[in-house]
Amino acid sequence: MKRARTSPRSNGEVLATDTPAAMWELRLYVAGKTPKSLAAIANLQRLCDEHLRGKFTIEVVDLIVHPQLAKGDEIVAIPTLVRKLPEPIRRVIGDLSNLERVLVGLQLRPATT
Amino acid sequence: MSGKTTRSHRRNETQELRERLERAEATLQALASGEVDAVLVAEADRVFTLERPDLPYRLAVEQMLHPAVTLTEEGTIIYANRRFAEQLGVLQAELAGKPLADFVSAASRPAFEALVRDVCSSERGTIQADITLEGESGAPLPVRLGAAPLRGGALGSCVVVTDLTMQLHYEELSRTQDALRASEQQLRDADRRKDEFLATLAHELRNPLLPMRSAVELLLAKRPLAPELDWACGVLDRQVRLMGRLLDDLLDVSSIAHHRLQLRMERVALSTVLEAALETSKPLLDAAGHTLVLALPAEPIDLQADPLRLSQVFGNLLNNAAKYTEAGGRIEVVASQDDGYVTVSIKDSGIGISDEMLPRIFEIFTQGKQAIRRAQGGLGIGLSLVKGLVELHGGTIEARSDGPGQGSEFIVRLPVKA
Repeated sequence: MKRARTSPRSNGEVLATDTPAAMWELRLYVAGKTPKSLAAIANLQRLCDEHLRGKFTIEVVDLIVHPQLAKGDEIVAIPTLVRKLPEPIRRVIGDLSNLERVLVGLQLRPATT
Repeated sequence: MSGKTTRSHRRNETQELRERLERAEATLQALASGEVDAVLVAEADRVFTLERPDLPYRLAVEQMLHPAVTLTEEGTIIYANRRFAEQLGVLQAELAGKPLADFVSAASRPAFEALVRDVCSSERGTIQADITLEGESGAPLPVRLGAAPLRGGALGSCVVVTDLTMQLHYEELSRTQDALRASEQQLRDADRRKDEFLATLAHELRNPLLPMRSAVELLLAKRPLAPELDWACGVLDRQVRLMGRLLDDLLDVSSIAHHRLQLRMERVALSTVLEAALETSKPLLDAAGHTLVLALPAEPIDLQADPLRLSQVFGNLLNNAAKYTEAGGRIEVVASQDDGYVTVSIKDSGIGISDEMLPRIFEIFTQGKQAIRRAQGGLGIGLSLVKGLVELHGGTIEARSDGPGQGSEFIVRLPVKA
């Protein structure tokens, strides 16, 4: 399967008509500056710029510094991305390098077989 | 009512269990694909990063410019580095668990299968196979696989991939280059043999001309002769002269090609050279009834040149003009001086030169199609000789024509040496 990058607008526009005032609240759990943590931050930034332009907030939580902040989000593996809003809560575990999987995980794209 | 509650409670429980299972699966998948490099142990409230003392080595393999994979004994990918995924155009996380054979072209499957079979029992350490990989991008990638067993094959094998694209390009280029060099040498040899042959031919043909010349002189001395004999004598005289001139040209071209032609330089007036040239061409010009216009500057131009050779240059150009212009044409010779150079233009109203011919007009044995049809004689060496002689004088020659039927102009530029 080829991974053609979707045009930045298409998904964002559809989303806007679905939930007009929707603001995305994302929280990314990282572990200091491990390679996968850094990769996850970069991948998330790019993904949001392309698919959620101007409609998102990202909170990066460093669990090396504040391990207790993971409570309530049931974090085991790091990095993990949690979509707080819109509900329901969704998790994507890993460095977010697999764009397709992240888009499906965040319900920005319907799952394919 | 209580039954309903229990059922909905069970449904919630099932739902929750399903979600936990999905989460656990997602965690395992992320761990397996290497997208995770830290875990949180809730009880200890601590994060453990998965960095171990061998991290630098793993990073080196991950970052290196060569594609590399580790395989199970059956050839299934355990790990593929970043470069390997890039080269195949596949996501790194998707490679683990797939047979490497999926990315091997059908033609090189047998070689690849032999490699996988042999590597784990290999006593020799690394073994190699040249195969073609086929990635998602579809472009076949010629590579050399270097495979080595891991812990005697018990852990499968590691395979380092060398991209052979450039090497194959280079090999082909180098083969082409060798072939070109060989054919260039053949051409050079052929050209040299041709020059040698021409020089020998001209010499050999010239030898019988001398006694013929003497015989004609003898006959001419007996004039007056009977009309038929006088006519025959004239024919012999003219034709022997012509043949001598043709052979002289051929010898001269050959001498120039071998850098054997020596000029006898002296101070000479351009007008003297042009007059000598006109004298040789006069019979041809007159026979065709051409009008000759000569325009020289008022003050005399002195040149440092070989008078014989230079008049040969202009004689040849005038002969050409006369030959390749319809009877009753107009031929202009215009000389001028500027910036230490003298320019002599010889312009005719003749058959002209086509665009295709123009760049090759000074090459030996080159004649325009129309020129050949005229069958005026000549071997196609006149202009080649002219160019050689002009260049020996440190000058240049240029041919101009607006095309067939538009006349031609030859412009000779020579340095005026003090």
